[in-house]
Amino acid sequence: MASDMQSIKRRMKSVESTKKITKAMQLVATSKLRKARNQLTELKPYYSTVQEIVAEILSDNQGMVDNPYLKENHDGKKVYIVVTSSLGLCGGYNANVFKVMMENIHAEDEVYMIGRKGANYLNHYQISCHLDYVDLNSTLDFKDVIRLVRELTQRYKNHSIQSIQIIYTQFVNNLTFTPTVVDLLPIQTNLFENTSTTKKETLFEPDPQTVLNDLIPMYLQSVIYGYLVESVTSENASRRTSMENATDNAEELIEELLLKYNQARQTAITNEISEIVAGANAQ
Amino acid sequence: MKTFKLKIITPKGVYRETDVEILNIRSSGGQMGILANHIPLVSGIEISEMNYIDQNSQRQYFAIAGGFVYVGEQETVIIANAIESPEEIDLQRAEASKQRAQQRLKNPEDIDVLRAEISLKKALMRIHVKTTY
Repeated sequence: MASDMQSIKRRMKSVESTKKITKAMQLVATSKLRKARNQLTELKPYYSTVQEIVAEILSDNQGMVDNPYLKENHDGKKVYIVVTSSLGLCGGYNANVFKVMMENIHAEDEVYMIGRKGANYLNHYQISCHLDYVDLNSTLDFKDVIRLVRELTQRYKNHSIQSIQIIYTQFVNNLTFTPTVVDLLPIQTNLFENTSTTKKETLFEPDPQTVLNDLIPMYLQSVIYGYLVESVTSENASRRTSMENATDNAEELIEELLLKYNQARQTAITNEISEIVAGANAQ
Repeated sequence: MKTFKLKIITPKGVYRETDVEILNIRSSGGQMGILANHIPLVSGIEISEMNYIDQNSQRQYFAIAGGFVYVGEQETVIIANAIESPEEIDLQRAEASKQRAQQRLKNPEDIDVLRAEISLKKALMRIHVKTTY
């Protein structure tokens, strides 16, 4: 009996300390989530303005098909940029991305991995990937994004890349995140059809072609950075939710164990009393 | 003088939003001054210094690390990856990055020369803006 009580007590202690950890992680994730969401709103004007200008140029100059970024490449590899997390304990965040990734990529495709978890996952399946930008999800350094875009656009213009797609986790709200695949290059002109344009004669200095050539890398930088920040937001939201659940479960478990412990204690006392009484009666 | 709305946007959010009399920038085609009622215009901006005169007739100087200007009917927007006023420029950092870029350009074997040149240009321009204004 006494050993039973002790083992329950030990379990309670271990559950209690687990709860402390999950609670702390929940708090950390909450503050990180707030930071990431702020960053996302700060980024919004930049992103939408670049998009508006691209839309303006494209609507003004229908049929600029010979631009290298609008033209489809028929040879070269397909490139995927995949955004995962570097830390665990974030619920199904990574698993969901992996599922979408495995549905889409093929053996001959190239993968630029962002996030250590994704790198480990592909390593496990003996699939190689570029790891130059693997820590981008924790540093969120815009300079690295510029570097990545420069590398990719160069390769796209050399025809060593057929298309570029990004797999990221869309942040719908604090509880809903969906892994999404988006085409980056070649630019899908129909993406901009819904963006409102002035339809006024616009001057391009020195000419639309040059402006577009400079603007598209900038556009890619802003979208990639935007998707990156959005994924980090989803990651932290996912971690917060799963840690909240874990804390709740731990609380429930502690309550259950406490009840068991008290029952065991009561049984032990009752037993002892009945033994004493039986002993007294026997005399 | 008639003013127009100017908005400067960076990846870190809206940097400035103000009414200005004139905006002076260096576009890929050359120096350019933009006044109110300009026709719609899109142009790239070089790594250069830019300035504008605000409503209080004060001329404000900035170092801009390349970007775009979009002159619309309602407002004029500058999109830049980095823009700094003289007070915000870290002279030591600029000097350090200038030296780093020069060092790299001295032995240009396994490096991206274009990149080093761009970062040298940015550093020199920052130092220029910081020390002049």
